[in-house]
Amino acid sequence: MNAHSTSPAFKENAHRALHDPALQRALGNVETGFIGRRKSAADKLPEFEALRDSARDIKNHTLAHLDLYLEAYEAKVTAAGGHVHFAPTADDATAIVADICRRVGAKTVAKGKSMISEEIELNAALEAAGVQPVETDLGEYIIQLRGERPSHIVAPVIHLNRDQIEADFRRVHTKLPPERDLSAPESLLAEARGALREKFLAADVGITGANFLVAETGTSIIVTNEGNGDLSQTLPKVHIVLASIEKLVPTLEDASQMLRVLARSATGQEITVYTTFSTGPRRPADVDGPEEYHVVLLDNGRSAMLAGEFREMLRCIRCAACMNHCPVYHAVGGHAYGWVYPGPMGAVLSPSLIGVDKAGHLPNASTFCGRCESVCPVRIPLPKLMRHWREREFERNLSPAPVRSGLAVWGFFARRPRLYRFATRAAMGALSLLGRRKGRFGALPLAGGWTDTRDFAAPEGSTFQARWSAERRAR
Amino acid sequence: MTPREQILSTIRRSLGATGAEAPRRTIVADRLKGHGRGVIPARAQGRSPEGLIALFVEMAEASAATVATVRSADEAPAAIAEFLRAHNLPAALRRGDDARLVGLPWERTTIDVSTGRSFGDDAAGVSAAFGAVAETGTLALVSGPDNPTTLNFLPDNHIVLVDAADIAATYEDLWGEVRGAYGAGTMPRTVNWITGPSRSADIEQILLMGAHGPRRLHIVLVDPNAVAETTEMDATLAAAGSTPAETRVGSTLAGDPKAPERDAPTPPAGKPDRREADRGHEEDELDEALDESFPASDPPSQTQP
Repeated sequence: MNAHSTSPAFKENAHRALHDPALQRALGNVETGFIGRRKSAADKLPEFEALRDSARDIKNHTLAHLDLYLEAYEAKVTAAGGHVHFAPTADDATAIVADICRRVGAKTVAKGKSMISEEIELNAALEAAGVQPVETDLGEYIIQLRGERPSHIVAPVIHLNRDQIEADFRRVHTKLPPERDLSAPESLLAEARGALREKFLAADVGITGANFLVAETGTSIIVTNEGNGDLSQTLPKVHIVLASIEKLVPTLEDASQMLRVLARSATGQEITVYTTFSTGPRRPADVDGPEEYHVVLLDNGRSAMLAGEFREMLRCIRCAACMNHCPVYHAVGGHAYGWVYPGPMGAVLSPSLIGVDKAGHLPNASTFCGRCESVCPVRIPLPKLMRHWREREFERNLSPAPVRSGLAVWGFFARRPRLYRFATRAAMGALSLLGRRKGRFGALPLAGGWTDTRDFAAPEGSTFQARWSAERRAR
Repeated sequence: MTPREQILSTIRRSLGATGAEAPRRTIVADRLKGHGRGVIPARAQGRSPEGLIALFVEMAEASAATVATVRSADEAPAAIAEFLRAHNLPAALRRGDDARLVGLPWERTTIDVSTGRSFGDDAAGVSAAFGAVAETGTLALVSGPDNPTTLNFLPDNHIVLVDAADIAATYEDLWGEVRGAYGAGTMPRTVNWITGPSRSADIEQILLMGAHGPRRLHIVLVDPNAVAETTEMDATLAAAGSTPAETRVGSTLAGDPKAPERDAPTPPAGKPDRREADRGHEEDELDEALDESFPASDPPSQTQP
């Protein structure tokens, strides 16, 4: 696995993010935009909750029969004149793509937005093979100019403000007049559109991801609003689809169920502007379209995830609703998570794909408020799965020493209920007495992590358990 | 072991299966043949043909497409000429070999019609839709020499001819039509669902129209049963919104984003109030985006800065 991740430094990343004013300004757009739009779209469709159940069931069914659906899908792609390549690892996938590019003598590759491409670090592999990849989604194009990773799986540059993007365009588009006005977002879009139009027409190979793969027909589906994915796959002579194995659904009807929840959950649209169903290469009478159609099916750890409790994570359709509703994501943004997949879905998926030793901080970066699960279109129990990772981390002795010794002390008392009640009563009584004057503490021994940034409210004297039994007696 | 065998065997180990179990194979084979439908939104069900057309038009316009209704395909060239004129576009069009387009009386207009795929230098292209879906105001176009896919994405203005009889209620109904035309389990190279013109909200979540694909999507709906209220387009625009669930001959044009809102046809049972309130909000947002994307003077040369 060649994952370059800063996930082990999550705490430092988060600290930096919290003190970055430009980032904090940009992150405000997550909360104000996505949440209301999703709610409005869901409210407009009385069947939305039933569709979420349906989407969950379709994914569960497909995952339980994934081997057979993969075989059926492969047979259909082949029958339509396409080629299916199986890639057990990220390196296998990049090698397959690089080989195709070399065989057809590709100089440039036009790319639609693909998170799998980020996961396998395809751009670096292509450059190493002497092929120039060009990201064509507006957000991904900006990301590529900046040499960054997307900070969000649907809106890659949600961490940027327009003045930062303007500065990048002035730095890179040096052939355009320097006195041009780029203050309006429209002018930034128009400039990117002009720059990329030439790239589309010149590209030798087009690479897209896939939102779904349909076993019934051997079809790959992409959803976009810009149309860049369609230009990327229609104009070059070779189309390569990058998809992970869990993208399969059985039929076109199943795909339609999934599409009804995807855009509504992601951007609050009824449906994206473009939903494209691609099956094989150009047909004999066609006057446009790719001459070759390849699908690279990536495993990269997913087949092993099917075995245990994390199989549920493989239902994920990458809508980003979980991160859009996450208070931790709102505070630190996507880059702090240190790898490709941020937010709650990343906190569960990243430890599976790059190891809990590297990504163990991520499932701990949660308040367990449960908003992610409440909006997930395929009902993934994200807090429960994060808890599973915390348990595994503890079992493997990966948790930090203060956490382990703290839990050991708590465990000692918790196993002795009478001692626990006595000790907590004594401690709460003492704190209540000490904090009686101000009602709060500015500093407390062993609680610096809390009191460094906010006061600790003084207890009122009684413990939760004491009040609980008093309430029950009173009934 | 090949990479293929490696992946399949890990999946089978994880699932505790061998792949040879007859019941599993039967379940999968039945599912693939069954085309079972799941949850279908009520909004598109049980409507009269006029109701379906009205829903299609309402949803298409909500996605920022514009719709012109004509009573016969022969009137389409004039409606298209009107669209081109209204946006100050050259009287030129690119189209494929579709018989529904070839047979039109283009000679009644001054439009210079050329044939073939687009290479990126056409201001406007015209396609004939395979079908449409009322549920979300979505057009369905299939690839081939009749309607080359490049026409859907390269020209700045995409005009699509739709026969009202081809409007399906739901996505599932559309797949039924596709299977009828191409055979079950077989698909044309590309099926494009198109709902409104191209857009992006990547910069600060601000909705901007015309990202890489067409800035304008204009639908010419051929509906022999449409009511001819008036032939004056301005009068139609002014009157639009008075009679819901009934298509009128005429059009709304993207150049006038402040065109009066149409009344929504029968809202789904349950929450009519909230639905209307949300719609109003959404259209405000869309109007702003349209205002920003279509400045008063909108020369075609704006494509390539």
